[in-house]
Amino acid sequence: MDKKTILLADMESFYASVETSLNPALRGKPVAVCGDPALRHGIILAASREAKAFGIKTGQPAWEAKRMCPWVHFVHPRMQAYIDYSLKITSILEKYSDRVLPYSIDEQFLDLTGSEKLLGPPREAAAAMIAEIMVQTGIRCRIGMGENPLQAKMACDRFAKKNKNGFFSLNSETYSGLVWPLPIEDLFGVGHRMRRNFHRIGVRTIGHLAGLPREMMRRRWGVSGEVLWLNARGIDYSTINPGAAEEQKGVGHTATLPRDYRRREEIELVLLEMTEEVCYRVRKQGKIASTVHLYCRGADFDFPTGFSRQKKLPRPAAAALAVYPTVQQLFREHWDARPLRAVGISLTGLSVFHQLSFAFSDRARREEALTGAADVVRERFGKTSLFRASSLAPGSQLFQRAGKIGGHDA
Amino acid sequence: MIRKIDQQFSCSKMMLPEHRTNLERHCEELIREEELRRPQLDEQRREEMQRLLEQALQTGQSLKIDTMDSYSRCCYRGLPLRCDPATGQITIRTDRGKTLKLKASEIVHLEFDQQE
Repeated sequence: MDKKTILLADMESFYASVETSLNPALRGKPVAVCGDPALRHGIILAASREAKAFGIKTGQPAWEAKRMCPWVHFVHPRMQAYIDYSLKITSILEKYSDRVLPYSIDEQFLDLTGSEKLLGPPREAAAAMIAEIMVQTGIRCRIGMGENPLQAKMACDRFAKKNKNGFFSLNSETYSGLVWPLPIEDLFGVGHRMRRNFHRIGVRTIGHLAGLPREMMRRRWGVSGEVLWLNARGIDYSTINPGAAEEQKGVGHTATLPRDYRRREEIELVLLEMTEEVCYRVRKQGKIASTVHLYCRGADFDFPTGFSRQKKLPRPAAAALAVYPTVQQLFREHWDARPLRAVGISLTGLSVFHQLSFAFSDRARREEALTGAADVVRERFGKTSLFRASSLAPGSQLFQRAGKIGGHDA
Repeated sequence: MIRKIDQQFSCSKMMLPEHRTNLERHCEELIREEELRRPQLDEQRREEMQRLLEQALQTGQSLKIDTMDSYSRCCYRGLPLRCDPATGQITIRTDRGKTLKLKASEIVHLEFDQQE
């Protein structure tokens, strides 16, 4: 089989670059995009190259960034603008290939296999993409190339980002020589927990992992272990197929609360509001869920508390009224009465909702009609046009979160 | 069902729901654009269509005609009655007995109606 040509295009400091593009006065200055510290969202989401030069990093608290660089420009995130820019970049990449797959808001895969005669050598096509994205959006793009998505991702993250021209290519011949000497945490899929596990068994570099037997990895860590072993060897079976309908495994929602929540009623109110939101998103997909997952994180950073538990619903559902009792039950069973700073709910086990009206009681049918009518009203007049009276009580997050994207200003 | 070993990137994809919705809309637009993309007819194909039209006018055979403007693609079945080079219009009588005038410039495909 012919070798594939897969590219991964990554946008440098994406949020900060969009802000600079929208406000040229920020060009050349240290810029950090971060939420509102008053609402405990004061975490750096992106830092411009100039800000990074001062040691400012993504995930750092805003006060720390200010200490490192007192003249840093803080900018509030505008999520819709970032989505619009991401789509603009998708459109640019679609000029080069009809197989473009956004992986996240700032990373997109492209399959250029077989387009050499049309576009010339992939290296030149990549250079043209980098130039076009810069001209049209003002954002610096880096591209990694490989024979599969994993090699492209490794080429981008480990080499192209450090390259002056923003391009790097790996293939099955060069992979071992270039990647194996890298520390194990540089391998795609290895987080800090997995790094610790690897260190415990004496695996310090990607090459060490590649030298282990595949069977051992599978026995120890299941499919995840096997995938990491394949990644260490530069093997990846993924394809770039944007046309294929993507099955979403679950729909979830997590939020950091604006202050520590201590009272049960307050926490349960937020859980009810989040159940409403997650259920709505499942309904929008025309699906129902069979399992609910509840996540609560304690307020004390020094003594991490909290829990993460899941439970099967009595019957697959997508209405908040049907899901919430299970959420409440999970919460009451596992909460240790300590204050919370973040909560999350997700629904999994999604299946297509086939309306079997004879299987429902009159009451269930009425509830379903009511839920449908409420959805129509909210879609037309906004999330806050119709809400439960309980959302007027203290602790409600409905009004703060309405109109936000990913918990940040739209 | 997506398996991690086959599609590790689909399994680890990080997308905001709003981004996902916008992307779906973008894909729908692309498909629509593709459907409405006007085919480029070469000289030979144009001559062929002209010949079929003349033949149909002479022999009284029905045609299947596809037209396309910027908003939609339509398919007509009917008997060509006349051709007016001055206005660039072709008059046909459809199989339902209705008389229609079609713009020759909007025709993208033309063939003898096999269903007749």
